[in-house]
Amino acid sequence: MHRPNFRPPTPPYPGSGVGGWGNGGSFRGTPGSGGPRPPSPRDGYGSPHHTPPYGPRSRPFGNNHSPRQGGSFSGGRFGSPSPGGYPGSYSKSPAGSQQQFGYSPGQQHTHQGSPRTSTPFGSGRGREKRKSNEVESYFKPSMLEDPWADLEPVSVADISQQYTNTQTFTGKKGRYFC
Amino acid sequence: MRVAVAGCCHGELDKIYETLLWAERRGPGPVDLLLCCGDFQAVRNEADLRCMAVPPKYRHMQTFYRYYSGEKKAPVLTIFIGGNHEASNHLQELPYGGWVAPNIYYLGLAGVVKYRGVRIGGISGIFKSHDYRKGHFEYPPYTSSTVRSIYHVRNIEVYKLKQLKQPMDVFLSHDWPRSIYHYGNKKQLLKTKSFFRQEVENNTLGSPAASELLEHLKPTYWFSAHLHVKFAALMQHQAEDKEKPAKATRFLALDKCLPHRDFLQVIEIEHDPRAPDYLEYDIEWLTILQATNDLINVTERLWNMPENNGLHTRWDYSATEETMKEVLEKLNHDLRVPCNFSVTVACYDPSKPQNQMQLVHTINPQTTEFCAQLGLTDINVRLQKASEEPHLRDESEEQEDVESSDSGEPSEYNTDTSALSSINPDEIMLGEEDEEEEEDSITSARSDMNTPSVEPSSDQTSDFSASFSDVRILPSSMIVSDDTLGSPIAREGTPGEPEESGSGKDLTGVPLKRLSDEHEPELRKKIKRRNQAIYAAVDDDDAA
Repeated sequence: MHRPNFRPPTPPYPGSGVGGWGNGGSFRGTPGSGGPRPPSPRDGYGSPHHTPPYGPRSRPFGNNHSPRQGGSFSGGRFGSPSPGGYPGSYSKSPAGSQQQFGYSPGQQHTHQGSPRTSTPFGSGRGREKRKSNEVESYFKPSMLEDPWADLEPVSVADISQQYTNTQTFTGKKGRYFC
Repeated sequence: MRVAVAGCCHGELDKIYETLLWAERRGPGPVDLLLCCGDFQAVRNEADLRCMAVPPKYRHMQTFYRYYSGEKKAPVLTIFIGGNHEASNHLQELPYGGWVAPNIYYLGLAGVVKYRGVRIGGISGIFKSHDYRKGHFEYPPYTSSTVRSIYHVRNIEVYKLKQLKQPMDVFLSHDWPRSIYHYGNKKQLLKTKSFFRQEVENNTLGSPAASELLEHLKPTYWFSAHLHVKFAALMQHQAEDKEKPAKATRFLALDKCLPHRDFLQVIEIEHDPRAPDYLEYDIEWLTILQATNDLINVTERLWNMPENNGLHTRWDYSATEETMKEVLEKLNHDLRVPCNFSVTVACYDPSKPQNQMQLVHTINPQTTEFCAQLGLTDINVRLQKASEEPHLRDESEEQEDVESSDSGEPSEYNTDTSALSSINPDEIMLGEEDEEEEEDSITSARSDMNTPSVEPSSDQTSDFSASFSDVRILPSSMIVSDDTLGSPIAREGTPGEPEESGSGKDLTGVPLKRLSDEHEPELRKKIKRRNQAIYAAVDDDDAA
């Protein structure tokens, strides 16, 4: 199993293959980048429900500490199954469980509103105005956490017994071209 | 490898890349690949903007055009599928996939590629039962009907994907597979989106086509968007072979790109360290494309896919070792996706807005090259031929009797019709604040009627191509000019052209007011179909 050593010993960004785009410039080269910014409560890092995703103790990837260890999932195609079957396990939250939808107590998820038919585009005058377009308001620590960490597998057999209307075809057959 | 997945992008590329950078610094390190699950909005100019099925108020240029022009470059390989809010004319140029900008790859109507050995498939659009069994008949300039139907999933794409036999690692669909919500925290989902309850309980939310594909492909990961909520599920498939462990799919749907929303997820996906770090074609998929090439249908009439029911001489188009070897030899054993992006239309210039920019049905040189390599048919070439020679288009009129109570002439310049009807049925439910925006926007529907302007010259196009280095500069012979294609405006009124059911071509006579669902039947053409009963039955599915 090579999972813990996935990252090839190449530069941190994918190199340009022969004739390739070069996978673009490095993120590090983005203007205005100035290194990690200290955590702020606004980011949700002050929350006990979040593991600080930086630092050697809490690197979100590669510690193979999966809550589903011993599960029956098959592994990937490129090696033997990883423990728990999840190739990229994440660090577990010190709170014992990750929030299913990734909202920290300090973050309100607005715009998940009432059942009105409307456009999926953002509103400029919602109940809670978007005050800032700064990138930090776009980032959420849950973006780095295992979204499947708290889930138990559900069998297709169990669900298909309850529900059957998954087929696309609902009407008469049309003409045949062949 | 480390993969970032984004939900509905809505043209917010800058924000997504910036957030990705932020995420990298916060812990996991560099990301190797970004997957976008639709509503990408690859808008290059004002004409593209008019091909998006959104009210005019939401037609923002956003940031993609800067990547198209070469002003910016995607900092990480980005692969995306189409959703229901796209610059449909742009994506239509690339039915088999291709580069929409350097380092940004569109998977096509359906497609499979490989990156670092990870097999990534996807299907563009959303499911609507009433269009599912039609051919790919739409072309620009779109009507109020085709601007929406263009992004509806077709059975041929699902059929092709169901010919795949080899294991799939990652699959993308814009709308969720039907039933997937039963495999995750349904209670939390309904708490967040309570108005999904009835559809979830009735098992009618989501795409049955995607569900079929999920059942068939059983990918390790499946990513979706569309419903603007983060939702994870863990699906344990039934074992196909008792000696092998049952496959499982990790499903994740993400929100749209806005502050404080769950629109991005970084995960680790197992890859093959020996595989090349550039994008590759998938040989099984190419073989299937070649095998199914004769099944291309550019008509509006309904059809079913071949099956083993005694009516077809062939129904299995799956790839064999032998056929895959043949295709591989055709490609000289080189599966690398060529970096052959080229600028084909004039790019938006904020200092010189061209609201009247002409819309052209373009043959994209990437598609031409791809089709030439594999002996495939470019759907757009077929569509153009069909429009020039209407008898090739399989007489749609014979399939459906269309009685129009409106004898008005089709609009000459009417390409901007996406906002003419009341509520886009393909838009999903959102918050009440969004509805306010929607209401505000409806009445201005006809404010930007398309009129022709000067088409960008070959010189212009070359200049754009030359502005950045890793872009293929087209020889003049490959640049599609207005002359070679014929004017889309002229074509709009071509006598004998099959009339589309529900067409909006005569909408110039429609009053400029909001058309509510109640009023719509009075204002639209009265259509009588032979198969009206079928439509009535399946239209119930449109509620999602």
